[in-house]
Amino acid sequence: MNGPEDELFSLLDAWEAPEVDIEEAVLRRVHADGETEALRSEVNELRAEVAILRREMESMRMLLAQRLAPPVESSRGLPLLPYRTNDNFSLFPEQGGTR
Amino acid sequence: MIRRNESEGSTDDELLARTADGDTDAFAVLIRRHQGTVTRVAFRLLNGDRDAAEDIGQEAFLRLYRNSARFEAKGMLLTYLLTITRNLCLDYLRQKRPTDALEQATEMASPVLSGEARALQNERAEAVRQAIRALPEEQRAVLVLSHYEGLSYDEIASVLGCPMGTVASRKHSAMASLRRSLGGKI
Repeated sequence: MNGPEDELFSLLDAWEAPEVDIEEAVLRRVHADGETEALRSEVNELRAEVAILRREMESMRMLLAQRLAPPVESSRGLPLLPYRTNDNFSLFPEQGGTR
Repeated sequence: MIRRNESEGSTDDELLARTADGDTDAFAVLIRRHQGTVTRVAFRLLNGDRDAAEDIGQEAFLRLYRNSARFEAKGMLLTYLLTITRNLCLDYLRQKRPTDALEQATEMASPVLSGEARALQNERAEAVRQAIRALPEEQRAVLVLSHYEGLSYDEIASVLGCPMGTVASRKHSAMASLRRSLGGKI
């Protein structure tokens, strides 16, 4: 390395960078990140529960509508479609019942 | 404290594995070990913007933490951190044309100097900052990583994602430009 090159390197070193301590700030953000993640997962669980409850409510609503609907009569006044309950009804058809 | 001393002697890979398991003490050691390099690089890539360098340093470590379970350091943790840092700096510079950071460049001058010596030091530091700022970003990145942080061409090539020969030619071009622009100060 020649003289002028050394002088250039030495001149470059005149531009110092400050010593910065970011440890505390990073750890604070990591902690906040963890809390946010925990809240997000809690919200997701609640959303899933709400979806199940909605499906159950919809099933109940359909069942009620079916029970409250007036029977359809034939021209002779006889019930064409006599009302009967579906004994196999289940809120959870995937467990074996039917709608 | 014994745990802390043990951690300080651990390798980056060991600390990162523990970080992935949720050990924030291990992560704190990684921060202490590399925060100087990360913030210095960000500071110089951002032309002396200290506040932005701090923000980007924090963001780089946060991203490392979030990816700790997926990333395998294999002895390249600092390279990975510097890649994140450089990308964040590029994003920052694209989004915001930084204002002139003259005050910060002046503020960082060595406190042990006084009077005329400090004025001369500040003047030289500012001239260097302006000259480096004028370099194309790719040359600036090579210069910062090579001259200021002492990374090998191989390591710089990993950070920048380019061949070693490109690193060498960018360094050569950067030094030639600086010699021209700072010639009067030497």
